[in-house]
Amino acid sequence: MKSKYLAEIKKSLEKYEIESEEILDILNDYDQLYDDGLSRGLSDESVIAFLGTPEKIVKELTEGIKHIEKPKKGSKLIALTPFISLVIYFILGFYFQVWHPGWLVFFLIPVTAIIVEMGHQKDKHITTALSPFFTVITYLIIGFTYNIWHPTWLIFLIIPVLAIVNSRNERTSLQIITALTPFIATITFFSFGFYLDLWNPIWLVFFIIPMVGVLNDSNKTKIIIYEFLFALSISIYLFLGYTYGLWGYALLAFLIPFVYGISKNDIQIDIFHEGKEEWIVFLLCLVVYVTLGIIFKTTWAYLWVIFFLVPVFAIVKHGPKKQLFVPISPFLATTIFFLLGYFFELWSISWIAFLIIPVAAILNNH
Amino acid sequence: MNSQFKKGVIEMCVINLISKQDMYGFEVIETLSKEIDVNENTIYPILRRLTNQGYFMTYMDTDSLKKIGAPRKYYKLTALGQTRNVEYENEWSKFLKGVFNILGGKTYEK
Repeated sequence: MKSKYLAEIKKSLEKYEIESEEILDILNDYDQLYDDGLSRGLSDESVIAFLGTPEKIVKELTEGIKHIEKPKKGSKLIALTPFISLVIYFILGFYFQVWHPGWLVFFLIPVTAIIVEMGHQKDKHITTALSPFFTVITYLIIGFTYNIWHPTWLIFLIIPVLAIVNSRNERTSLQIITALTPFIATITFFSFGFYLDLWNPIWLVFFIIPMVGVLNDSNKTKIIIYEFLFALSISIYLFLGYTYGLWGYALLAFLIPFVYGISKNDIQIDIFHEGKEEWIVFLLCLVVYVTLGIIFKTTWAYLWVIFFLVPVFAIVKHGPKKQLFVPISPFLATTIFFLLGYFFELWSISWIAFLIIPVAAILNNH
Repeated sequence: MNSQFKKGVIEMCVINLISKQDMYGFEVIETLSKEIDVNENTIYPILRRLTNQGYFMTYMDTDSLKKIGAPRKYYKLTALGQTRNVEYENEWSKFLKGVFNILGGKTYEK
C-alpha cells in the first residue's frame, strides 16, 4: 500500500518542472511520514487520510510550479505533415502536372493527426473521424474521373453510418438497426431510382424507418397494430396505384397510420423541439440538392457543398459563441477551394483557402 | 476562515514550534493538528516551502535508527528562521491587540 501511495505521488510530481533530486527528497519524506503514522498504530487508510491523497499532496506541493506538457508520441510526425504534404504537392504539381487532384495530399495533415491522437487513445471512433476525408477523396476521384457525381454523393452517408456502428457497444442490436434504417432506405431509394428508374414505388422503402422504429416499443399490442396499419396502407396504395393508376389518391392511404398515431398521441408535431432544427436544415438541403440535381443535371457535381450548412448550423447553434469562426473555417475553406477549382479551374492555387483554418485558429488564440 | 489567512497562521505556528525544539515531520503535523483545527495535508508542503526559503535546516538523527530502524529527518530553525519568528511574534501580538481592541468588551449574547 505504501509503495503504491509513493508511486502515485512520484508519477504526479513528474508532471511538473521539479528536479528529480527534489522529487526523491519528497518521496523520502513521505516514506518516513508514512512509517511514523504506522508506528502510531494508524491503519494504511488512516495514514493516507492524515497525510493526504497523492492528488491533494501534489496540488499543495506544486502551487505556482509549471506543469510540463510532455510531448505526446507521434506529435513530431503531426508537426511534420504540413511540410511533407507541401513537398509532395509541389512534386506532384511541378513534375507530374497533377496540381489537381494532387491537393488531396493536404488531407494527410488532419488524417495523420487523427490517426496519431485517436490511435494513441485507442478511440473506437477513429474510423468515424477519418471517414469524412476518405469519403471526400473517393467522391472527388469518382466524380472527376468518371463524371458520376450522382449517386456517388451517397457515399457521404458512410459518415453517420460509421458513427452509429462505432457506438454499437452503447446500444442494443435493435437500436443500431433502427438508427441505420434512414441510411439503408436512402441508399436503396437512390440506387434503385437512379439505375432502374423505379422511384415509385421504391420510395416506400422509407417505411422501414417507422416499421423498425416501432419495434423498440415495449407494448406488443401497439407494435402489432402499427405494423398492420403500415402494411395495410402500403397494400392499399399499391393496389390503387397498379390497378387503377390512381397513385395520387392512393397516397391518402397513408393517412390511416398517421391519423391513428396522432389520436394515440404517439405522433407529436413539435418540429421545433431541441435537435429537430438540424434535421430540418438537412432535409431542406436534401430537397434543394435533389430537386436542382434532377432539374439541371449538372448541379450534382458541386451543389453538395450545401450540406455543409448542416454542421455549420449546428456549430452556430451549439458552438462557443466567441470562437465561431474556428470550427466553421474548415467548411468555409473547403467550399471556397472547391468552387474556385470547379468553376474557374484554379485548383493549383485555390488550396490556399485551407490556410484560413490555421490562420483562424492562430488569430483566435491571440 | 480564509484559507490564505489560515495558511499564514499555520506557517507562523510551524516556525514557532520548531523554534522551541527541533522536530521531525510527523511530530510537527501531529502537534499542530492537536491544537488547531487544520487540514493535516497542508502542513508538510508548508514545512517544505519554509525549508526551501531558508527558515529551517534539516539533519538526520541517527539515534532513531535504533528506535524505528531508520534515521529521522529533523527540522531546526536557522538564523533567518529565528529572525522571521521574532517578526511573526511582533506582528501577531500587534494584530491580536488590534483585534482585541475592536472586539474586546463586547458581548454577543442574545
